Amino acid sequence: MSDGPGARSCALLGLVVAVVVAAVAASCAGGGRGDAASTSASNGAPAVTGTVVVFAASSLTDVFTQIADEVERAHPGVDVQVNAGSSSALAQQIVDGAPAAVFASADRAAMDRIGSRGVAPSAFATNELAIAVPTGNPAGVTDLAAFGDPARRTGLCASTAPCGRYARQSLERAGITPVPVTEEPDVRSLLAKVASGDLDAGIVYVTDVRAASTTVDAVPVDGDDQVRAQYLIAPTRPPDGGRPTAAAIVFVDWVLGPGRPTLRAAGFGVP
Amino acid sequence: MSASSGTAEGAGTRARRPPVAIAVLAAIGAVFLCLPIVALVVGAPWSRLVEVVTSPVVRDALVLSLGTSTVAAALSVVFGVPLAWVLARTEFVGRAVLRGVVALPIVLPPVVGGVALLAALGRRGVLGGFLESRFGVVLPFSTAGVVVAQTFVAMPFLVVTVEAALRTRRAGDEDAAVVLGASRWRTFREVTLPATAPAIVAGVVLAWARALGEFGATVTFAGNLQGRTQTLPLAIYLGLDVDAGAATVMSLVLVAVSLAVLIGLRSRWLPELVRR
Repeated sequence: MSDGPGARSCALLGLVVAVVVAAVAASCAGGGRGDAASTSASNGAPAVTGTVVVFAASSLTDVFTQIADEVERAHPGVDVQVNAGSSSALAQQIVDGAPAAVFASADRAAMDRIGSRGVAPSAFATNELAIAVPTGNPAGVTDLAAFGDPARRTGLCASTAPCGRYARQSLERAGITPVPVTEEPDVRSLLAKVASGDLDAGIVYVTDVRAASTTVDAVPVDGDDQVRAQYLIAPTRPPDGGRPTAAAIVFVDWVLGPGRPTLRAAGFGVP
Repeated sequence: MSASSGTAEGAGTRARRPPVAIAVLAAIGAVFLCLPIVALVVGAPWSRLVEVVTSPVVRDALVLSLGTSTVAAALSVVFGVPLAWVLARTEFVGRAVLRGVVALPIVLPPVVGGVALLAALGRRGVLGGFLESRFGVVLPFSTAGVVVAQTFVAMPFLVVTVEAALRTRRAGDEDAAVVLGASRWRTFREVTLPATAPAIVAGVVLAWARALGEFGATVTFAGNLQGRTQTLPLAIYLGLDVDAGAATVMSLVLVAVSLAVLIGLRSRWLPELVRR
């Protein structure tokens, strides 16, 4: 009687092992890229090839996906992969040895944390804060005061993320003690909860509201309370030292040069 | 080919010595499972243990985690045991489908569970709008929401465990009780429940441990706020960004709690399960 379940669980275990092995094999196959980044001279014009893994602040998700397409069109040998998340979480991953080729952070504190892994960071964009509300603004939010009102269901980014630090600076300027119902790990998860209507309001970046204009509306933040977010980008050294790859430098140069109209179109300030 | 060698006793000992391939694979498996825990223990900043554990963030998260996971485990028993009984003992159309859907959260990515819970119980959800307008109850971003998320991912473990126990036991004892004049409720209470008690306890432990470790569904459905919805796994995840040492210490707390429960219950209950 105990044979049946035993055999079944053995079969199940076999299945689990097979799935794990397949997944590991797949990720290994995808991981053979580090050595691919190289510059080869053909017909005099150097053609850069290789994969660039870009660790980018969550608020850059959409615009960096567009810029990645531009770079890949201009450099057919280059493959850009954007990994978006909270700047501080990404910085910690880089410190822990994550294979980032480029790091773009939403504030200087996050960039400083990766120390010598980042090579000569440059400021490439600025952003401002906006109050995101669900389409139609059902709770009638008019200004930052809503964030001090316990009757409203408001959210902020956690203060571990740049958007959370900027939002708190802004609220402090406005003299408001916030009473959020949630502190989200990064700006996009905050935006998602406003878009779903579960939050009455959240403090995000102007560019986030623009990117999600079908599901959220923006209420402007008063000029006096506004905080300017500064974005920095740097090619990064491999975890074991050495120099950034040529493909990484191509991507960074594109963001600082030909990619500027794309950043501007997404609502970023470009220096 | 080695028929001539040794007695039956010798053959028995040899059969119990694993072939080299099995031994090597088993060793790799064991190291794979043990190494991360050992690394966590070795790498932890032990000198900061007291400071971290008594900090307000960790204290709040620990209290919240213990409270919500216990309530989630209790809810899993209250609704899960009857559900397991219905699935194991009754016949109805769609039972196989129901059994599959009920077990789904075990394999479902927890984040998907959180999104599904928002779709059902969020303010614009199927049921959530009604709950808010009729009763003023808003589950997302509340401690009750944490319990809901944990119960959603934990209860299936209890249902599956208890249902398996019920199905491997034949209904003979219950039939006898009914023939002897016991009501169906009394039969359930006095025959079925005691006989499945070890499975229920094992299911509760699994469900509680799963609830204690819940992250994805909680952060998606209930958000993150210290003292209200920030459970220990959420505090660890967010703490990792700013203070990896503190996050390691918090992880140790979870390891210790989980281990204590496993050891404490194993000696009392699991042997009975294994013997059966």
